[in-house]
Amino acid sequence: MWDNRNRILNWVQQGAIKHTDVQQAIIEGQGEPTKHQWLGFLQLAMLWLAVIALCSGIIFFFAYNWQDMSRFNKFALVETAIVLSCIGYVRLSFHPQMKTAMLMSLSLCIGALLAVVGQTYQTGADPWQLFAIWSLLMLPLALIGRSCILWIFWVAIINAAFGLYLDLSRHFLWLYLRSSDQALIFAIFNTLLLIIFETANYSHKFSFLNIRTPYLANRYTQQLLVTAAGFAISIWASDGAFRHSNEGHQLLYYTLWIALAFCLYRFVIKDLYVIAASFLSFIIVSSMYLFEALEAGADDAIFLLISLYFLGSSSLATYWLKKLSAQLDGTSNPKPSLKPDPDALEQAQQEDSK
Amino acid sequence: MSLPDSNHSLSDTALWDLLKLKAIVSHEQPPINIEVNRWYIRIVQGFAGWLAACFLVGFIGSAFSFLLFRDENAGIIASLGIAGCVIAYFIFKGQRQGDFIQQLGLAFNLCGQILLAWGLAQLFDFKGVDLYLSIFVFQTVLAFSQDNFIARLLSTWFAMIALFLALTKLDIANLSTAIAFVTFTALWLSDIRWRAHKSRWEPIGYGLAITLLMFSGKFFFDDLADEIVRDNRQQYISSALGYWLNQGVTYGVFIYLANTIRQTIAAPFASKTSVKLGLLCLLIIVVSYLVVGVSAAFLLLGVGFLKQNRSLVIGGAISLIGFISWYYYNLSWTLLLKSMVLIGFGLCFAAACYWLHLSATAKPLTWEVLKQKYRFNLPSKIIALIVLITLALINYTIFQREALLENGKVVLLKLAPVDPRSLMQGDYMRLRFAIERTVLDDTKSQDSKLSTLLDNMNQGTFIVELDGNSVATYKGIYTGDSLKEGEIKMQFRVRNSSLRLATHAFFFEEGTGDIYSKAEYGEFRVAENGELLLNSMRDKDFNILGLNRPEN
Repeated sequence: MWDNRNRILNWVQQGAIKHTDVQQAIIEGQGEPTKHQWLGFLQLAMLWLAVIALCSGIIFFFAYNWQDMSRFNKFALVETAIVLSCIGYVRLSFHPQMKTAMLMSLSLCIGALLAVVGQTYQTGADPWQLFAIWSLLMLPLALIGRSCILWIFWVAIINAAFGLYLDLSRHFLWLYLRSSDQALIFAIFNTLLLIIFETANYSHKFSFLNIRTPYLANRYTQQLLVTAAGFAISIWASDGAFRHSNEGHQLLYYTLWIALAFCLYRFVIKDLYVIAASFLSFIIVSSMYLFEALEAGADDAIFLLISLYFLGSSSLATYWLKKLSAQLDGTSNPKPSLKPDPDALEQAQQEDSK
Repeated sequence: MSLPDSNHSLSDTALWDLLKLKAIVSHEQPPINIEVNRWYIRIVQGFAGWLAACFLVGFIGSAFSFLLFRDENAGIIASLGIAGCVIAYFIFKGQRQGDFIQQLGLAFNLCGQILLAWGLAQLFDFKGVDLYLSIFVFQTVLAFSQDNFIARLLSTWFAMIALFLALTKLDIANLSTAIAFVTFTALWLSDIRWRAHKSRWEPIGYGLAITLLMFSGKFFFDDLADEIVRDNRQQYISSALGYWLNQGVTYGVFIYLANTIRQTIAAPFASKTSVKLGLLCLLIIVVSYLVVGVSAAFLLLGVGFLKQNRSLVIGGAISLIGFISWYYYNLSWTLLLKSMVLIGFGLCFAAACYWLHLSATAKPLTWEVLKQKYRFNLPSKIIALIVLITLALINYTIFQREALLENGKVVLLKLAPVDPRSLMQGDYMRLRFAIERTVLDDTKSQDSKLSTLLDNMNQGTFIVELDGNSVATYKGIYTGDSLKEGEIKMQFRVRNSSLRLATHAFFFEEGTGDIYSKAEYGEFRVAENGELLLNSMRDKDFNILGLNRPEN
């Protein structure tokens, strides 16, 4: 449904459809959402708005830290919310969208409970511990939930835990890092997660693994992981450009990583986003190395050279990406969809017809 | 609940065949020769183009510095800028498909813009309105003339920013939010009319979307605007009136959108569907009034779905989450009130969801229906088990902590002075304890073995002795020997090469911070093994000022 209008209007611009027929073409070509689709969309929107509003309302409430409410009442309140979400899940899990929403609200309420306990009893535990415990408790929920929304949220939480553990928040903001190895560790961590997710996604190719993960097919989770890992490793590599004592090993490992990612995502798993991101990262990092290398020599011309380098490398990258895009379209690059998990859909339809 | 059908994508051939079937087209499907450019490819181009432009400016700046850094040469800079944009215009107009040429054109365009802005900034007074108006006009011209997607998008965005700044300087209330809403909606809703020139209007549409989000966010902008408008005086239209005009236009746009949707689904004015749409529209308006900024997100979602534009919908969803997170920091209301607002809306949305479900399937979720549908199958069992385990673990932790508070030894530690400006951090107070300094000094001065021990570990235990008032004095690092009479051991952590005792934050209710300015001691409850919990703050006479959590 998502592309119909765009394609019809492209044909109009090309002249393949007459201008007088545009309105009719759109209606017949399903270029506008029908009443049914609108009601479905609005219902989904209301559901998720309800979940987000209620859970953030709960979180805000406890952040207020109301002294007039005893701490046991607060615990009771959050735990009731957890139990209600659980009951909601159990009762409404026949519907795939409700199922995901209920599990999400359950996860958020568990997080709220952990936060309230942490807030109430100041033991000085490190902040990463809260996120680590939260991600541990949420893991089974995400496994059962079979939804990429839950997995993306889980990836965000575990990255928050890991990032706080490495105390990265300061380091990411400065190019001149004292110790950038933490960025490397962060990158490795996300790469490991990525390997796990990709293996799960393609597990039907391995005979000994029998997990079916159709919800990973839209690749959003993997792309998010690649972005996080790639960003971290680019920071690590670019730090190598500015520390004069290095032997260039950072550039070497970085290039290996990028080359590996490129080969994997060009020939095996065909995901153009990853290729584009790796090109962009390579252009920026290599330009930093170039800048450092040239700084001694040319004076004003260095700016011109770097500028030309950007133009040259980006146009090469763009040309290549467009060629790849044309090649990969229609092969295995799936269009990301917002539809629910198909076998759950089937199950729901079977239930509906009963 | 039934799901929307026809959710699967039709291939190009299938779509063309459908149109053929309905006798809208009769000849063969044309090859797709309009370049399909994915958003991430555009980001590669845009980012690299921007960086190339910046370095180009750097080159010009350093190579011609003798020329440029003089005020009288502002005109030259400006003309250079215009020249750059004109070159870019001809490059784009040539429609040459070579990527290098396109990138070159983009770099010239952006470089030209920077130079022109630089020149104009020197010609005109920074605080005057002429600077921003002229930039606005220039960027608008660029947006319409430069035949490149990224260039148009960026120019639209910059034009709107310049308009915002110009309006802020003029003594007119800032209606830029209203303008952004109206232009965005007008453009996207009339997309059939401009489809002959899609390559012109589409990037402008996206640029307006970005502007919409930025203006609704305001947080970035208000600071920037204040910087420039430091000495703002009387306005011809007061800011209150401006605010209400902005709101009014926003609501009007929503109503117009709802009406357009109603027309596209051919629902008569008084039908049930129209009533539903109307009520939902009303709900959205109320939410937009109370939670600043979400109106833009809702507009993106609505327009995006209507025009089947995935980018707008995803942008709307992400910005919605962003605005709700930002709502947290809105200081004009207490968190309690905000949480009530959110919970209230949550219930309204849930009710709306259920109402839509009822109207779609006419099957109310009564107990019988639920009982039929739900099965206590394996996933549900696992979830229930997880929840039980979680609650058990957490409640056990609570129980342990409560026991510590009840039975732990009372130890008072003197507070060390903290930078008073950072003392209150909203709703918690930063603490330092004098004893931390003592412990650190002790380890550094004496036994070098101890200090290296401290460097390597990230936590440890030290010993204190209590006096009559339960105030603790430092006695040494705990090395495993048995404790003497009256001695207590306490755990500490080492973070960022400084000591941390249990916690450095004392949480209090939002708004009650003043009580704690008299605090001199922190009261800890210490367990046998040295585990600590901060219990309360005491003043100089050891009276309790407040507990570190609500009184039971």
